[in-house]
Amino acid sequence: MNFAHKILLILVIVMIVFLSITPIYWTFVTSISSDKDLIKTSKSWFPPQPTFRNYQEVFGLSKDVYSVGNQIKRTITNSLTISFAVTFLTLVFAILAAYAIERLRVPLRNYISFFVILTQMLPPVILVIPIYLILSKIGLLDSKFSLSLIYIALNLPFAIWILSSYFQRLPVSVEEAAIIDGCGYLGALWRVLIPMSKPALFTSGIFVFLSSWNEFIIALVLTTSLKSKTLPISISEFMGRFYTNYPLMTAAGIVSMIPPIIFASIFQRFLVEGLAKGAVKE
Amino acid sequence: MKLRHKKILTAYLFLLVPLTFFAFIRFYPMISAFYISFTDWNIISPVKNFVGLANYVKIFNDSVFRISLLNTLKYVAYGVPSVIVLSLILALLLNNITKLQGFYRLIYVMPYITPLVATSWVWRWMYQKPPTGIINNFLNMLGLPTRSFLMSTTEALPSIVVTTVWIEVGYCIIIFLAGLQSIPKEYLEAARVDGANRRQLLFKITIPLLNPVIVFLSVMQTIIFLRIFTQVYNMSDQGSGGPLNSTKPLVLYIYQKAFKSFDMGTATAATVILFLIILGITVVQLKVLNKKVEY
Repeated sequence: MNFAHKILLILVIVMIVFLSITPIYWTFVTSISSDKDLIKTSKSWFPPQPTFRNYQEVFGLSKDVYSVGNQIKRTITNSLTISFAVTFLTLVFAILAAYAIERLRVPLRNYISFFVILTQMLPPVILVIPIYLILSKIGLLDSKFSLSLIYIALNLPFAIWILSSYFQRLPVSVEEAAIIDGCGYLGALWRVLIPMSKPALFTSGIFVFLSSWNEFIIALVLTTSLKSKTLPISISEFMGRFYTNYPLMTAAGIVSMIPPIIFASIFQRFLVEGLAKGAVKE
Repeated sequence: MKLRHKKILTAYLFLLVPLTFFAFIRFYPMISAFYISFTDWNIISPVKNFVGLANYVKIFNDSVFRISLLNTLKYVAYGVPSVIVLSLILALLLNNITKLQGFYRLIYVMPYITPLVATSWVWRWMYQKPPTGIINNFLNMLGLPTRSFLMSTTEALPSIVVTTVWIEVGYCIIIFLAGLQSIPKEYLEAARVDGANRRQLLFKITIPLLNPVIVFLSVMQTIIFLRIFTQVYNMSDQGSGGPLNSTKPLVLYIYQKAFKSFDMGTATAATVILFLIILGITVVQLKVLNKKVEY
C-alpha cells in the first residue's frame, strides 16, 4: 500500500466514523443542552452548561402520573419486559426446533423450510390486518402477552435457521454417546449441544432482542394504552406532540438507543458474525 | 422400527410450538388477507360480501394508491443502488484495515441497531431550517442557500432515502467485509503472479466471487425499501406521508386505509399487490443476478 492510498483510506475511515456517529452525538448534545443554548445559530461541539434535567424527567422523577417522563418510563418497562421475554422464549423454542430439524431429521423438513422462507418475505403489514382482526375478536388487543407472541412467531424462523446451521457443523459423536448412555434427546441437547452452541445462541439472542426492541408497525397497530405500549411508539407520539421540546425528546431518543448500544458493545463479536452468517453462507 | 417412531414423534413435539405459531400467526393471516381483499368488509359492518375484484379496481382508480405505488418504486430505485454501490466501495477500502476492526464495525452498525423511530426523528431535526437543522447550518456555513428538505414535495422523498441509506450502509459494509474475507487469498495471488493489475483483480476476481453476497444484499435491500414505513411515518408531518403524499409509500397507504378509514377490503387488496411486487422482484433478481462463478 503506497502513501497516497493510505491517506485516502484514513480519510474514508474518518468520514464514515464521523457520519455514523455525528447524528447520535448531536442528539446527545441536544439532550443535555439548556433551551437557550439551542437557539444560538453558532453551535458548539459541547454545550457550555450541560444539564441532565431532561434525563431526570424521562426517568420519571416527577410525581405527576401523566407527565411525559412517567409515561416514557412505563413504556420502557413494557419494552424491556417484552424484549427479554421474547428473546428467552424464542431461544427455547428455536433450540428444540433446530434440534428436531438438524438431528432428528424430521420428515418433510425441506418443505417446512421452504414455507418458512416464503412467509419470511412477506411484509409484516400483510399480517398485521388479519392479526388485528383476530385479536380484537378474542379481546387480546393492547396486551403485552399477545404482542410478545407475535414477536416470537416473527423471530422464530431466523433463530431456528441460525441455530440449525450451527448444529450442522458440530460433531454428532458426543451426542450419540450421551444418548447411548441413557441421556435421552433432551439430556443430550441440554448437556452436550447447548454448551457447545453458545456463539449461535448469543447471535440469535441479540438479533431477537434488537428486533423486538426496535419493532414499530405491529406495536403501532396493536397497542393503544400504557398497559402495553412500547418505547418506540411512545417516542413517536411524544415527538409529534412536543415537537418543539427538543432537549426532552432527544433525551428520550438517547434512552431508547442505550440498550441496543450496550448489547452490541458486549456481544460485538457475535453480532458481526451473525450479520455476516446470513449472507456469506448461502 | 419403534425407535424410529419415537424419534419422529419427538421431532414433531419439538417443532410443535413453531409450527403452531407459523400456522396461526403467519399462514392463516396470509390466507385471510387474500380472502378479505375480495370482500367489501369494513370493521363496523358485521357482514362480508364477496365482491370479486372490485377492491382491486377501486385501488387502481385511486390516485393516492398510484402515487404511493410510484413512490415505493422510487424508494427502491434510488435507495437500493445507492446502498449497494456505496457500501461495496467502502468495504473494498476498509478491507485493508487490520487494526481495531471490531471497534470500527461497532461504529458502522450503530445506525442499524439503534431504533428506527429514534434515528428518523434525529434526521427530521437535522433536516430542519436553521438554527435547529444542522444540515442547513452546515450548508449556510459553506455559503449555500437553505433548503427545505422534508417540507418540499420534491426533496422530501430523496431526503428520506438518504436517511435510510445512512442506516443500511453500515450493515451492508459488514456483510461485504465478511464476503471479502471469505475469498481465498490464493486466487488473488495467482492472478497477481500472472501479471494482473489492480483493476483486473477487482473486476475479474473479487467482484465475481462476491456475486452471491451482492445478490443477497440486493434482494434484501429491495425488500427493505419496498416495505419502507417507519421512517416515512416519523419523518412526515403527523405521519401523513406528506407533503401532499409525496413521500407516502404503499405500506403507509395500507396502514391509513386499514386503521384510519377502516376499509379492510381495499387495504388488504393493496397488501396483496405489495406481496406480488415483492415476490416478482425477488424472483427476477435471483434469476438475473445469480450467476454461478467457479474458478
